[in-house]
Amino acid sequence: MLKSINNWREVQLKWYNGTTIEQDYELELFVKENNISRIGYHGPNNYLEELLGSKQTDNLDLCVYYVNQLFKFSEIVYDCNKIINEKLLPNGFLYLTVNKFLAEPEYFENSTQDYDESIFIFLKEKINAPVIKYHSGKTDGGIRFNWVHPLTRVYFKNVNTI
Amino acid sequence: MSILSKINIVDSDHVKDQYCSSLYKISNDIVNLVKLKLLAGTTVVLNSGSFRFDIDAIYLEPKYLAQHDLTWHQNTLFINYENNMLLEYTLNKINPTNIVILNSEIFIQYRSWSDIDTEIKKLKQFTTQIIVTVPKHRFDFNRLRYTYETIAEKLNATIVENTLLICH
Repeated sequence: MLKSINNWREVQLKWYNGTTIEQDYELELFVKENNISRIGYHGPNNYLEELLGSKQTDNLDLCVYYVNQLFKFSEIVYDCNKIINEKLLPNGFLYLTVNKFLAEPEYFENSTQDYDESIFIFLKEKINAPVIKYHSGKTDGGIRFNWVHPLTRVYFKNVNTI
Repeated sequence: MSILSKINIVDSDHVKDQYCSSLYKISNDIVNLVKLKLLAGTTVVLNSGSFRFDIDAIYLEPKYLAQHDLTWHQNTLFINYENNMLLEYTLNKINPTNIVILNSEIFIQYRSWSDIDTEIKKLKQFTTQIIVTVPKHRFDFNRLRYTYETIAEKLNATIVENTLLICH
């Protein structure tokens, strides 16, 4: 699965004469702008590991959580809270990118009619860290490389002091 | 540095490869199910990759692909699918009994189930029966509110393997 996604990224870059995909670039810029050095990864993403460097397991300035296979939002929340509580340094960041089309349906009581809004509300409500940056994965007609680097992207900041 | 934010499908040198990658896999079992549902008469298969099927039909494919060396079904016509008037004119002329769209990104476009439903209703005006297959993970609906079964019911569809089979 991972191999095919990375190949797909390379193929798309080649087809359209690109150096980088916008989502990758934005993450890379976030790392630079915030002087992040200790980065950990959750979920298979060899490409991002190579792009951003580092590969730590704890005391993280940033954890990159990449979800591009079948998943449940409730499981994501569990993982995110665990990362925030156990892996991040105070003021560290969690970057979550999810392919919303691959979510297994599950009922969320505060859901609205709009899926993207519901995802945002769900994550904001359930994850124990404030959202500092959010990119909606609003339907894009399939032209913005969601299957290379998912468009639904949220940055959380660990405000725990311990 | 060139930062890619969007695909430009039509103007790419790789338009053929891009088109082929946008044709989602479909099992023989589902194709056979579709064949069983066809009513007697003329069938039009729309933007689904005519080289993939052996259905006795007229195939309509995007005009920008006409010069590309794919092994198109011999009964393939190329039209500008973004020109709705031309599509409607063509469908009126053919007057098909069945319109069929099989796992086609050009049709699905990751749209919401309700937008897909609207598009199906528009096309239904030109035919007695319309059959559309949509892979479960390639269209938009609120997965924090509805199940696949609920959406299938709203679309009057059945779920076969990982695909919604809509037949109106």
